[in-house]
Amino acid sequence: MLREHWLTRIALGCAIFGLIILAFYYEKSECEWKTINGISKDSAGSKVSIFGRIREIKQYENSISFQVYDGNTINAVIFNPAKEDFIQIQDNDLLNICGSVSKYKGKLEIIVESFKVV
Amino acid sequence: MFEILGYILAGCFLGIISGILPGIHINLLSILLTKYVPNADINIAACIIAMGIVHSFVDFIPSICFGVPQEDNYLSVLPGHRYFLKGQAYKAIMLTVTGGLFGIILGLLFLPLFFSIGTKFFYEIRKYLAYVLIGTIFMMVFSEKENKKFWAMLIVALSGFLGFLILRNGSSENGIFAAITGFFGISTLLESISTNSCTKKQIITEFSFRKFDAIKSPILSIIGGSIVALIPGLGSNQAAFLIREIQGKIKTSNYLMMIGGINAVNLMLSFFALYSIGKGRSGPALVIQNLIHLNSDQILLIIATVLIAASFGVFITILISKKLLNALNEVDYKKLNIGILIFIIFLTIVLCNWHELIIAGTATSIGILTIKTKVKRSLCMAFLIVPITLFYITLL
Repeated sequence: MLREHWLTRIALGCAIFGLIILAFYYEKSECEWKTINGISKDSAGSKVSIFGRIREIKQYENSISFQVYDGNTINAVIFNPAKEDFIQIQDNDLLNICGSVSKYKGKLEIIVESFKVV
Repeated sequence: MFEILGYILAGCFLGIISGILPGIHINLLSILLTKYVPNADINIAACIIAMGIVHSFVDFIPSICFGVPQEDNYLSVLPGHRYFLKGQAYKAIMLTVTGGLFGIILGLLFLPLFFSIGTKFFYEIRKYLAYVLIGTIFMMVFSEKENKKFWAMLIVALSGFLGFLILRNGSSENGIFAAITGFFGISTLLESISTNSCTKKQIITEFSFRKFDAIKSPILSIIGGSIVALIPGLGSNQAAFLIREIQGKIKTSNYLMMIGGINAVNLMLSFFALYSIGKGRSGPALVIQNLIHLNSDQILLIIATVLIAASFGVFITILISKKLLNALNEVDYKKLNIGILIFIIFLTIVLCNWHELIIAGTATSIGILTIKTKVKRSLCMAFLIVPITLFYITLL
């Protein structure tokens, strides 16, 4: 027979393990601050965080694509955006974007995971 | 990281509120969170998940102590309330907590299996469900003794017809609330008051459990929770009922552990089902589905949130139940039942329109008939099983 204190110990163990997983998740998902000029072909696959103004927004059924400008330009795309995303992103907005760098048709672009209108 | 921990803790405290107070549901709180918290995103999703998990632990306290059922645990009310009347409410609550915690731990270990096999058999399971449910209805009736079969058939017919009327135009959340309140809440309280049932003083002793039971019941709850997480229309109570009918005789203690596990595992897997089959199978999961698009990295976040919230749920349930049961020992049980009855009737009047009040009244009458004829109270579950069976028959 196991006693009650074993239950509380197991529960405490779950909490500690949960916190470790949370820390690991943040370590893995952390975006590295970069300027657009600093993003090169070597950055493909890595997560970056950039600031820039929005240009040439194109809205589709399952995605929103736009250009981000901070002196240099890079394409960005949001897949399966939430309804509010269509309203939030306007031309010339200053956005902080976090996403992964990928290649599309020979050009670098950012697949947006999260963004904030500044 | 501290920001999201804050959201998780906020969700845990909201889970206490929704678990303790009948009528305040996690679905409602989830919708309110997305409406009134700006820039809702993954943080709010974590808050909702934490709220759901803590709710699944805490909501057994009112059902066991006061006989007040909630939508997802009403089959625990009857065995749990029996423990309460014997002065062993703490043991009953701890059984559900043990089932919930071990269910979550084993559920997380079986997660890769859930993602691979569970989703592959998603559509296969649905094909045979109608037959299983039809068989269950027959078992429910014909397992009664000879002189009670007629009453069993009558109660199944009446409950099933009532459920059909409630659900025929789509799910009516307040209609289901009214029916459950009538079947398992008001009828139980009226019977308690009229028979002057008295309860023994609640004794809080150190809880102990067998290792084997702590593994066996959660395994059953993973099966039940997986089925509910994947198949629309089935709830935790129906899954518990199916497993009990298929398994055969099951000790009340193991049953409470199993239902505690099914409740927690179902909710947990409904969030993972969002990623694997792209569909939410619980209210909070549906809210999250409209909020964000889950990717594989965020599975880690869900696992972390579930573990932290489960731990919080265990500790807070133990704390609240000890304080509450000590307080209940000082109270006149009959007056307490009258007070709870008035509160539930008031809540029903506030939340329900006149159609739903008629549903509550009808369900109460059927519930009282079930008690007086001494047939299984779980026969009233036909109010959900019959319409669901008809639904799956149309899919064949």
